[in-house]
Amino acid sequence: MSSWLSRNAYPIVLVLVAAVVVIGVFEAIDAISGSSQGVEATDGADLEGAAAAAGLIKVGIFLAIGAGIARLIRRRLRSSSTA
Amino acid sequence: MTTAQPRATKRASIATRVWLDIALFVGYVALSAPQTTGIPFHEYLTVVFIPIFISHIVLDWAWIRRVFRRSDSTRSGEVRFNRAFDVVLFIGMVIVIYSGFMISESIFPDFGISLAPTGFWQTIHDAGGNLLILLVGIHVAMHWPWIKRNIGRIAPNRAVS
Repeated sequence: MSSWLSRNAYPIVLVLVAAVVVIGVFEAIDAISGSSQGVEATDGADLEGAAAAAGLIKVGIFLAIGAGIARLIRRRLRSSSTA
Repeated sequence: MTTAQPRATKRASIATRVWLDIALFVGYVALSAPQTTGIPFHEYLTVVFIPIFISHIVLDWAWIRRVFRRSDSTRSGEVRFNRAFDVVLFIGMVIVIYSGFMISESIFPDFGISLAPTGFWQTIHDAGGNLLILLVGIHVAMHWPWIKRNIGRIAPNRAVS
């Protein structure tokens, strides 16, 4: 494990630095927009039955829509490269 | 004997990548449905998800290096699209994970840390989370030929060609 980490230290550090940069940019946007007012926390209660299943159904639908969009993109990219 | 060793190493590497990708996808689907899993599981699973997400990038580092080389005017439109899209996806994933921690209701309070959730991070997490599902769908579909080919390669009862 440690050898894997040391062998891949460079990409891992790059990924972490990139993540910190992204977070820094969004923290700056938050500071500039001044939207520091609090929000009411939800109680975090688990939903049951149909409401709980709806969460997974939503994910499935969104993923399927994404896959459909990707299909259109690939078709468009292929037709433009052959033109 | 000398040719068998690199082949075995390469197959193991692909198997690792495919299994990691499967774990990443299953984990992501579970993460994207906090209504189903509950908030505490959603937050603790994120902690497990982060190293898998980083490993996904690191294990595909050779591909990333190859597509980001400057002398790539010969790259296909699909590769160039994936390159730009994956950067957007990375930014989206980082910010959705971070905003999730900023509005934490379970994991930070469990450790006695209380953050006052702000509207900014709540909005980013809710809207970004939904958008990210769509982006992940596109990402998986764009890389589907690789996934299909390599699942076929690691599937049992398949003769080594």
